[in-house]
Amino acid sequence: MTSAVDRQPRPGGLWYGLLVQFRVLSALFLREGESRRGKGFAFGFVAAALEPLIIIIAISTLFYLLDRQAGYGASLLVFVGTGVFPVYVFIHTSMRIREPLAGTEVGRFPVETSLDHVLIHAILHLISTVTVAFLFFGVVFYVFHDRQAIPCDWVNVIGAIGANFMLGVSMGIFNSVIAKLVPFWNTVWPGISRAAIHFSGMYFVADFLPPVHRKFFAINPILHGVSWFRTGFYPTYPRILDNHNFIIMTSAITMTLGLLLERQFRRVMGEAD
Amino acid sequence: MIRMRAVTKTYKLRLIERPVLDNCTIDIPTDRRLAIFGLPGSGKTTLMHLLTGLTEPNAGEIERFARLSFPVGYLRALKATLSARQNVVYACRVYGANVAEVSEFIERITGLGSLLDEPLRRLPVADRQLFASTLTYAIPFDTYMIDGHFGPGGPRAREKCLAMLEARAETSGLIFATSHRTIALRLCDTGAVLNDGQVELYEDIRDAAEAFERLESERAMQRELSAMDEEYGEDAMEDAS
Repeated sequence: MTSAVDRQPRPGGLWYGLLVQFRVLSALFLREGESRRGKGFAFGFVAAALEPLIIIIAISTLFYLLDRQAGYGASLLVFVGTGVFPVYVFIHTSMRIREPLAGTEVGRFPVETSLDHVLIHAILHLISTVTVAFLFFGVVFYVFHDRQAIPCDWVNVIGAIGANFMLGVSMGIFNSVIAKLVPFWNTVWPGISRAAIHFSGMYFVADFLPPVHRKFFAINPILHGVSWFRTGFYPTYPRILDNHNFIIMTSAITMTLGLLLERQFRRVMGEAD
Repeated sequence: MIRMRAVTKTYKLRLIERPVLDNCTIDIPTDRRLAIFGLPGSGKTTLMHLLTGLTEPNAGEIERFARLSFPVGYLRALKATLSARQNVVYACRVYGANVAEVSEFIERITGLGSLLDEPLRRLPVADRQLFASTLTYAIPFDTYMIDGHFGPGGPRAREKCLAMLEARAETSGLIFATSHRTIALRLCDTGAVLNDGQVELYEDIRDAAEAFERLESERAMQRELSAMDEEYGEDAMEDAS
């Protein structure tokens, strides 16, 4: 009650805008990082990224029991891991950031915008998935002594994760617009995306498929992200299909379209309450 | 000052559609104690949401040249799964207020003690409302936005909130959307009337209250006439023929 109002910077101008933006983003980052899916458990958002680990273990066990070899390279764990992580960077981002935009449950202060929530949720999911990926490949390297768990080309690894992440963000924004028009979409999209991961080369090498089928698989942008990621681990990974421009252009177009539509629909529909 | 340029807004639900503002251009003062009168259903809440930025207009532009509060007691911004204290920390970070000062103030005024550490949704409704209202007054703003209620219903809580509001109103502005003339005359010094998609400003609160009174009696008269129509309409038609 006694705080001097005069100490506060005055509204107006670029600096005030940036200050408010910074305050909102940092506050949201700290709150969501602590509370989201955690319910008082400080590392809850990291726990949310355990799903890819479970999938890796499941697929590896299955391959082992069926006595199948890794699609490429000597190590089954590394092969499956390099397929699962880029896919999950896409899936989780695309599924979870639509909640703040489409959901009715998310309240906000007037200074926050839905896009602030989108940005923070996206960053948190990137951080948590990357943390778990580091843990996974670290364990494979130090415990199983698998040399291939350490990337040979960090530029490709970072580029591939970045491309998949951007694709996830743009698809998430686009999804939220669709969900505003067709709320049913919120129920359908997790199914579609989880089905699509099986076509993304998680446990096979797309270049080894018959050429007739291969070109249909190449329509899926996530597949390019997976092979991009793998070229960072395997120096001689086949790159017939690998097209970086395709995944970047797809996400750029989806992002533009999603943001334009979001802006339009924000004005037309959607009461705060 | 809040500058509105050609703002149009329609309040839309599935079955109801009401125009709130129709191509309204106006500068609303934020350093005064302003009462915005409006008949029930005229869109006072929607107007407050537009002014604070909780809702976007369908067309037009709104620029805000003051640090406006969120509507007093606005619970939706808070997270029910987090404790009251965690919500205080969040609100202070968002608005750049001093966490220690605000928490201490809230503790002293609400007297909730260790209840402040329970998840917000576990608090009794009255306590939750008192907490949310106190939180608004505890953070320093240029202008406090009040949508109908300056505090929760209980007489003790109302008294507390009124005292906080009056203390804040000494140095800050106030925008109070209401349909009650008595309380507005006590709190405010300038007025406005929201009617028919337009906001009309009056320098003196008494002029605004008078204009609103006329509006109210017009509405009451219309009601009576239409009720009479319904009741006697058919007989009257028969008599005439």
